[in-house]
Amino acid sequence: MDFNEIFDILVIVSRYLVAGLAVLVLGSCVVSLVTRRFGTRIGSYLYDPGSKKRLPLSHWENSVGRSKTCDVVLTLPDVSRFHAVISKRRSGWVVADTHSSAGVFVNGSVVTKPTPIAHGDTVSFGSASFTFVDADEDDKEQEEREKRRAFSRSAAKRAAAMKPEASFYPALIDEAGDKAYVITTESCLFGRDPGCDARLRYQAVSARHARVFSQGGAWYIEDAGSSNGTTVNAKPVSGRRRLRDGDVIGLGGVIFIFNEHYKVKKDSDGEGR
Amino acid sequence: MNRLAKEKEPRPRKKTEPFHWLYMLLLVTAIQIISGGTVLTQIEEAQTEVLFVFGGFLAVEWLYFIFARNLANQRATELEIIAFLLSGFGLVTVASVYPHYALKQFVAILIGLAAFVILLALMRNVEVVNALHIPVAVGCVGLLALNLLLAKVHNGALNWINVGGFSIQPSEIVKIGFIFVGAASLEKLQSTRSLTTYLIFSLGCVGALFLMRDFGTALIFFCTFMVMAFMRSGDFKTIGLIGAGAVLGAGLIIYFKPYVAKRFKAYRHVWEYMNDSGFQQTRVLIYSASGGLFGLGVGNGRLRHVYAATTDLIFGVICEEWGMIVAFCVVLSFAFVAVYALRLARHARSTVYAIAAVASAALLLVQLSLNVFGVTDLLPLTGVTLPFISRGGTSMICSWALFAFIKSADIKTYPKLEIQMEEKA
Repeated sequence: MDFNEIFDILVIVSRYLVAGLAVLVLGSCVVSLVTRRFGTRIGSYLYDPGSKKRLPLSHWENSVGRSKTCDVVLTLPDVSRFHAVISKRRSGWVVADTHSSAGVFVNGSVVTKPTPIAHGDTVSFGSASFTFVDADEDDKEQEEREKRRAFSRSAAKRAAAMKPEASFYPALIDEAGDKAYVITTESCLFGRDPGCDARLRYQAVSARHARVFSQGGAWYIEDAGSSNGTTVNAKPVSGRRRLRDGDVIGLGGVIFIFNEHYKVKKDSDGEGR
Repeated sequence: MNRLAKEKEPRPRKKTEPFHWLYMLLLVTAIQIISGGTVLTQIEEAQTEVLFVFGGFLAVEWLYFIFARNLANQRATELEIIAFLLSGFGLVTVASVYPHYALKQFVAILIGLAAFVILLALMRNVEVVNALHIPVAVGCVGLLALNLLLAKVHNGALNWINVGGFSIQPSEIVKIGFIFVGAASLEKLQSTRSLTTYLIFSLGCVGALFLMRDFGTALIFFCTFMVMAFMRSGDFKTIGLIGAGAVLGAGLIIYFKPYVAKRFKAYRHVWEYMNDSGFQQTRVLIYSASGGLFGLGVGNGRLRHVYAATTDLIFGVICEEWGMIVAFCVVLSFAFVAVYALRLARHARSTVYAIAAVASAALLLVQLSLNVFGVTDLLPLTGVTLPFISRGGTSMICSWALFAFIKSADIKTYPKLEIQMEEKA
């Protein structure tokens, strides 16, 4: 077998090899190109405080308008068919007016050129106003909220573990300092009537005099229709009033001191009198 | 809605790559070494020159992937693998027919690769693209006007100009600009609703090509324009109107210009004009059939002796010498790149990328169809090149640039931007 014959065989083999390899390469490229997942989430949205609806901005560029082909469809008479475009750029989110008749406003000022918008900004298309929620900031806020919640939970646990002997409740302490009316519930009605949560045996106190209640972690007092009135730090209370540690409360002229963290022994439950 | 979308998102999976670039690169290199080796044994002249060209091509290929992988952090390199595979097929085929032309083809691949990288960098920022629209549009019109002034007649068309010993085809470069100008951000599209300005620009380009009598390229531009007009307006009525007008215009031109009619005379009657106007088509059909599935082997074909074997008829040469399987791979790769471009468009960062990717894929597909169906007499033979494969510098550069438009729509091309997205997800 001479050199030329070997060559001929190589040429024949190469033809089959090239065809096979080409199919292999193209095949894997195609599988990779066609099965690629595009896991994109934009997640920012426009929040309508009136209807509490979220209008998602699910693309990098979103058209806003009355036309059905828009990404965010606003069927309002003063919104143009193609009113504006909200796009995500490298620097952040930007809103641009696309020759709308009623205009676009960010926090009340009119948009003439593409204007950056930040989390919490009010964006208006004609008369329709929305709060812009940036997904990044929204997520951050939620994380923080969760962190805070987890922290307060663990703090309460730690406090309970450290002081098994006593717990703390807010209380009204009388002027002499020998009687404390401890508030163990969310809302506590003070008065002369036996049906009240805390019974005050004073002539000047009405049957149902005042209510002390907590809301959002703070304590408040409101008058419950007493005849002689309620004061906090000598100022008459109309409606509700925030209570702070050490405030002087007058119920029909009888003076009490508000103590937010009154120490109650573990075994004594309810009001210590 | 927001939370719902979050739930739908697939759980982060283990990072497994279905496509391993190094493995693919080794396979492509193997194909190129085998095919290049066969060509080297077969050619009778300029063997050292061709050997150096093949070596240089392989070196460039490896350098590109090493740089792209390590410096630019590119993880999705399927398009480049396809581009290098096709360019390699073109280079060896051209070298086997005209060994002296191999160096020119290699230089064209180098310039094409440079254009690819530069365009990817340019397309990174939407604002930059928007700002460059008018200069590029002016440049395109200027280039075509210059072409009309300076061109000499070549194969019945006026589309070549000579610059310092190189003959270049400005219409190929204008293809890049045409898509670049058409790709606008949603904000721009919505503020200028009418297609008028863009229509005038497009009519100018297509009109200039008609004056050059380059009907194939004019048709490619027109089809690309239709795709872009649809992408820009999203309105079938507008497109229908433009299409109807254009068909009418083309019909009138063919009616009044016997020259054009004569050119298309052989269409669907090639066997009647077997030895004159149907010569090329009939030879492609005969010799492709004799190639079979695996081909006759490099150098054993007869189509290589027919006029324009390495340009318009190169698909026939591949069929005859490399076989039907390789030829089908070439055609299918463009089809799948088009599918990829469509998928990319839905998730693109901006309409700029969506329009550029889809229009580029459409242009490549139209050009491929005109070439492949033209030589096989399913469409009139218009004399356009086969992207990446045909001999011709400007055509090669244009093909690489169009792939850059497709790649730019992929968020993986810009890893720094992608990180921002992942943090959010």
